[in-house]
Amino acid sequence: MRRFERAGAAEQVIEQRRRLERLFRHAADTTDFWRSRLAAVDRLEQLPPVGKDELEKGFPDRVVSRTAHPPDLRLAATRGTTQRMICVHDFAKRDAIRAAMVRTLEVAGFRIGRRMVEIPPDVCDVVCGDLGEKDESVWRHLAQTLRDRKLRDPNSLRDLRGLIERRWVYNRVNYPPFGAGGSNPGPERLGMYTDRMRRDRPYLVKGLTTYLHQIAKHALATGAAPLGVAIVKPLGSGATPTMRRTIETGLGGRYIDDYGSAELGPIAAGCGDSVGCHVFTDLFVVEVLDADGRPCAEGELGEVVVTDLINYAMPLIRYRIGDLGRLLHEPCPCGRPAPRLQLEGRVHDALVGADGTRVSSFAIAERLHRLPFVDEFQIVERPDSSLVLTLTPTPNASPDEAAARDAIAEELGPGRVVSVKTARTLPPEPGGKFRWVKPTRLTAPASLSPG
Amino acid sequence: MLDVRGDFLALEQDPTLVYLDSAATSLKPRAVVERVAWALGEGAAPVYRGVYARAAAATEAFEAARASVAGWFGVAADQVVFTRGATDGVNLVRRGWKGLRSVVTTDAEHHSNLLPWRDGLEVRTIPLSDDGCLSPGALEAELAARPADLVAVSHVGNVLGAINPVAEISRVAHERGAALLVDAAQSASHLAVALGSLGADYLVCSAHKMLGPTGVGALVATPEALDRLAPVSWGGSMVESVTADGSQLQPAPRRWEAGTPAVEAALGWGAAIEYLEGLGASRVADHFDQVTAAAVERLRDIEGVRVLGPRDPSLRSAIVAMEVDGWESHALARAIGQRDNICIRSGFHCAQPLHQAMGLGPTLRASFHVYTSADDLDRFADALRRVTSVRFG
Repeated sequence: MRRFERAGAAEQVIEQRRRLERLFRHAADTTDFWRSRLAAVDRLEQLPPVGKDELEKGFPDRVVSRTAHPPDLRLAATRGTTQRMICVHDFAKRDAIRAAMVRTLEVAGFRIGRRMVEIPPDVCDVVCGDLGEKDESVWRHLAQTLRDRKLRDPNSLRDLRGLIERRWVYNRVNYPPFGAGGSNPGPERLGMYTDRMRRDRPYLVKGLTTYLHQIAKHALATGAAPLGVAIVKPLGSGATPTMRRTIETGLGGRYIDDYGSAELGPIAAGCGDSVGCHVFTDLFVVEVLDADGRPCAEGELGEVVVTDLINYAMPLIRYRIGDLGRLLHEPCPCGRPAPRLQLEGRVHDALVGADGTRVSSFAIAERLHRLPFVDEFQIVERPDSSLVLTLTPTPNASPDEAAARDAIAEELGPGRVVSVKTARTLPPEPGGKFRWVKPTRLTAPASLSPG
Repeated sequence: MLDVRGDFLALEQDPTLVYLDSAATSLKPRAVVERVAWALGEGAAPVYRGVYARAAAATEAFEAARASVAGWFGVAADQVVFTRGATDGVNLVRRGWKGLRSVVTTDAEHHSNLLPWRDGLEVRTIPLSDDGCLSPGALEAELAARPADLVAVSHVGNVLGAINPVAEISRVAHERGAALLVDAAQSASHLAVALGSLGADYLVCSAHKMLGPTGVGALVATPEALDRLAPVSWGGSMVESVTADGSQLQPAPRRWEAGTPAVEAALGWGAAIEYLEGLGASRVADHFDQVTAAAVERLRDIEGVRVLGPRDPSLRSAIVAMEVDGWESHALARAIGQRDNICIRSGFHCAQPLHQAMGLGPTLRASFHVYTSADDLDRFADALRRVTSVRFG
């Protein structure tokens, strides 16, 4: 990876093309799914982008490479708002993910070994049995493993290895998610986070941005800010410019973006010198396409499509990851030649403006976050295209409904009926994340014809 | 096996659907959909209130639904208290029985037959046999060592599908002075559930697991057992008269049914019971025996699949839980759901203590109903075979 980074832009393009050609050959030769699709394709751009639905239909026997070595394979599933995509990684891919994680941190100015705190989204741990990561000490886990006589059990060993990596190599501590308290869990709960941060003194905090936003606001409101964190990074979500400023002021560190997913690993990392994240072009080909599948112009908003150059266990080529973004090629002050990707939320969270253009949830969120009385919010589009804005008001502020409607109209254009409600907190999605905008997806059921 | 797929709108509208999550909720036959539609349209009116003809007709239909439920459980109509479901029924006993102090239950219970008792009572759990069944001998020993007011057990476990010997458990409980509550959520449409035959004092169930709508269920009880219960919810409909300083309660069962009931759901449940009666109890029972045995046979043939629960098929009812080597249960359920349109449950199934007691992580569960066909089982087994042909380390 470092060798690739040091190479010139022209060399990087040649190497990327070589990796792509090798991936094409491998995918066509070892999977039923890609053989027919790649048969008449010479160039990446000729291949229609592939959605999750198509891949899922063939999972695993048609999409997993026949040459993959079973004991070496692990499942990786998304925990986002869709909670759907399942992917398979082999050792080389997992290794690349680990290395990319380190590189993501290094690009941001973080040295491995410094104290890091993660606050991942909530997971259901009772009904569904998705237990997430347990935050326990290595010694306690080892003692329990010995008591249970499971030292030779592969799952126990894997857990132990992961724990050692997390606690001893990364020096990473997990804080619990907000849980049932939703977006605004209350001062007592938020105080727990600021107290722990003051005690643990992490150099880097990585978390769901709604969590970070609320913790920062609490720190500011209680006079606890800044908390002395040097670097803040998002985890499974993004932040609007206004949110970033609040997070930086409240937590005390620089907010440096990155971008990745469970199925692909880290895809791009922010350097802090410019907007967007530098794409890891040795690992991925990232494209941004318009509604007709053509490449977007420089800086134009479109759908992100990713080709994974490393995953030979389950090739993902022109994979529609489900995000909206802009690709930026202008030089970055940091000197890295890789293009930058600026993310703007999920494709299925975007609304259609009065002029027919796609309006990202980020754009709407930025408008609303600038309003002093808006703490957190969610917009739900109803089947009649009216919008219901539910907001948690900033403490001691009175919601100004007209101002909220105006802010939405500035992004979407005129003509939308907007009703405004207030709530104490907003519930997360089943995957633990929060959605700013939920466009209507429901279609009216067909009438039931008896008999 | 029965061949009634055409009676179910969900299957008609989605012909490739294989629905194997009936223990969570069943699909609904057309007769139920039509009855609910009638209650919401042509028959819409309040019950127990108006004197006009529509209201009288609605009340009559509602009481007819109660009578259908009562007939199904072999009791009089005034022994059927409509609740929101089985969970609500358990909570009614917990809150209504003011002198209740101690409960004996098992490791295999659904959270809804465990957590209400833990709320302020002494709760003891009896370990299960390897098959996941409750042994009357173990219950006898427990009650001999320490008496209890109530024994609360499921008729059929919602994870392993194990059929508990309820009549025998009833004998032991009553000899030791304990009342018996049977959670019949998983058995009400599958097995014979006459209250008298089971020997239960209380029985709880949910309509939506027996082909009816969600939002309604029942507490079915002997008159003596109902007499123990005070109302736990107060409001309209449950009183005969209210004065400045007091009120006169309605007789059973309405004194436990404050507020406007779920009329359309109750009517739909009545239609579900009529539908099941129309199929015939013995045909339905044979169907479940055959489907369950066929499912176990197919699954046991698949390499890497470990079927959990009773080895003796006569001790299992329409539920088959399993572990699959190298696959995490959610991933597998998601995979076959996405690629084959097969709905199967994964996780702890609201029975986390059972999983802990058996040293299990989240499991897979296939569960069946009258619409489950041999073709469904073949497709499920094929999908499982194809998916698990790719192994993970």
